[in-house]
Amino acid sequence: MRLPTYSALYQVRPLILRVVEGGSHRCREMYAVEVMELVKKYGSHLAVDKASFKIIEGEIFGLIGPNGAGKSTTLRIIATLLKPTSGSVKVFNYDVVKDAKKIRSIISYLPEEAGAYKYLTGYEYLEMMAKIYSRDDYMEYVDRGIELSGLGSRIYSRIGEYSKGMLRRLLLARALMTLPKLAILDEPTSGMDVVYATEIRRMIKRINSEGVTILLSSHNMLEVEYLCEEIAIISSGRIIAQGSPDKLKDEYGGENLEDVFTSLVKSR
Amino acid sequence: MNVLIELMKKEIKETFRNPRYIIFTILFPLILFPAIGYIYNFSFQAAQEQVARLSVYVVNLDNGSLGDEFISFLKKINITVVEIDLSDLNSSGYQLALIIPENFTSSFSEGISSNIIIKSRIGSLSFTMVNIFQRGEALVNAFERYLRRNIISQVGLDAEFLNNMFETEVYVYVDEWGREVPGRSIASIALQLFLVPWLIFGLVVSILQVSAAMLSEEKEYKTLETLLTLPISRKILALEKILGSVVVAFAATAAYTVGFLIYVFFLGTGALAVDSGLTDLIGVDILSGVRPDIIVLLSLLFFLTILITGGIGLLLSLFTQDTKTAEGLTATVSMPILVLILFGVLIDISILPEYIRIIYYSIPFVYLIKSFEYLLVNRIDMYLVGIIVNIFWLLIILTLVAKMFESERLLTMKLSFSLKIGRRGGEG
Repeated sequence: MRLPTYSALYQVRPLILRVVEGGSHRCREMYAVEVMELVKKYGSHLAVDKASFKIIEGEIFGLIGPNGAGKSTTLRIIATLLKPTSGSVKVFNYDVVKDAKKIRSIISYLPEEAGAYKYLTGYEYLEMMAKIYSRDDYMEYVDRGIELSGLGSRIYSRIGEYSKGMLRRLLLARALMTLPKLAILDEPTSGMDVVYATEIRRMIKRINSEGVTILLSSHNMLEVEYLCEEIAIISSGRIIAQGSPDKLKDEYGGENLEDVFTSLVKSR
Repeated sequence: MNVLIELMKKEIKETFRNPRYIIFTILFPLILFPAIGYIYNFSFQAAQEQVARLSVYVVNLDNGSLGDEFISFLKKINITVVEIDLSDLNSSGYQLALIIPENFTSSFSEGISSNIIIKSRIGSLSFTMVNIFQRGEALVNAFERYLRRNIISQVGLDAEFLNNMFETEVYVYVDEWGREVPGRSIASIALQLFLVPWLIFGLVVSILQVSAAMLSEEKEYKTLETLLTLPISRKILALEKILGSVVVAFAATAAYTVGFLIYVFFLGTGALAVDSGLTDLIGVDILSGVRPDIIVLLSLLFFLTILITGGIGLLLSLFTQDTKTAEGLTATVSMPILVLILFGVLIDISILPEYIRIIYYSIPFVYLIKSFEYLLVNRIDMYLVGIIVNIFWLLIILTLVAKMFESERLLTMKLSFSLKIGRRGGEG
């Protein structure tokens, strides 16, 4: 009898965990992210309002919502860039405020509007980033980064000469090349054409199959439906629905995720 | 017409909501020109008042009566005259002294110009120092006019002599310097004193802009967020940015020190050196160059001041989201430095109240601005004071920069007026 590969087992692991999740506290250590009653204020402006959700290790989790709903702020808090006003956020059981440094060593974050140093070549950029993570294994990261980026010989060109799509692929390769425990991707295919976007979705799936938990935000519902096992919909800073794409479609009676999303957001 | 008005409205909103334009078009002229005007006014008024109150010490060596006539004239125009022997002059604490020569009366009778020596004594070199000996020259000229009006008509001397009855020879004793220089060199020295601070101002502004751009470029090119989520401590990141400023500071210090030394070399070999005896100074010797210990101290002072400038640039970049705003902000911060330069060059600091002097000398830029003057007057001890003051400020600024990198405000803080106009730091 052929045994399933580690990668295949890893892919079904979140589903098993979701099944056993209800009520079992033994699963607590399996959460990649736990957001509890999260509040974030900028002055008097309430950006996130008591948001709570959990991400199981190994799954691809989508945080979706209209513009200004609080997606990026939530992702920034999980990525330790911002501090919560109240509530708590844990990444692999580490607190984002107290253990920020530890969290930074196991995550990678791709901001929505990320850039890179235009006078470095793509190779120099990946090498510099890889060396920050490991002085010994950095070449392994760089090789993976080059492969993930798919830039071929253009990896040796200056980043300033890259198109928007090439830059995004480089940045995503940077975020994923170290195989972080959690990759936070804010609009990973933002502003990209169909061909590039498809490649990137495949890349995300592939990296996830290697054990990387993915938290992503996106405006593209097809993308979310294709990629994510679990989704949370955020509106005006509050989580208004959560579940798998199929569960949400069943629960809210939509033909696709776009219908569910539109009806939920409009009803708010 | 309506289209034009709408387009104009757009133009005005875009222009005046941009912090850069607000700074350059409104704040700059509103602050800078009044400040310069005030300093000019304050410095010259202070100098004039000081000069007007001066007692004029007169050494009358004249064998005839014209010398006495000159003294009577001075008293008549309400000048406080102190008659003194030549041997007592140096210890008298004079600020302005006139030495009437032995042949004053006899030369006058023969229609030959005679030489009145004007001596002035000043605490430190400044642009206003020329006022004192000019006062002496003005008194001699006034006596000439008096003679022309009241005496000459009776005597009947020739017209050429009437236009040039007395020559004046000016010497200025500088306390800080501890030596006397011919008056004709003072203007040249004053010019140099004005020029060097301007060169330093250029350096400070360029370092401010480079260091402010280091962080604001990270914001503008959207690389800062990624940087802040890497497994690097914020202190290391702060140090990396400061070391970036250090590299700039090193390059700038090397360039400026070399340039400055070449400048001093040319100065030492030029006409100014011959006139004022610059070559005799302890600090400057054409044959052996500037003393090595002075080079070390001067370089250290340059380096520390530039490092502080870099730190301030980094702190300023906290308030900016892009390099253009950073440039505008650095221009605004440069203004007080510019005012400080004018203050230091125009005013004889030694005549100011003590509390102003304490404030002035606790500002880190002062010592670099006055570094040439200190070299000229051989006040190398002031380099040491400057180094201590600069180290103090550097520690404060480094602490602030480290705190800034620990805070999320690094990402979210903006100039308050741009906050009101633009979006908040955390969108989405």
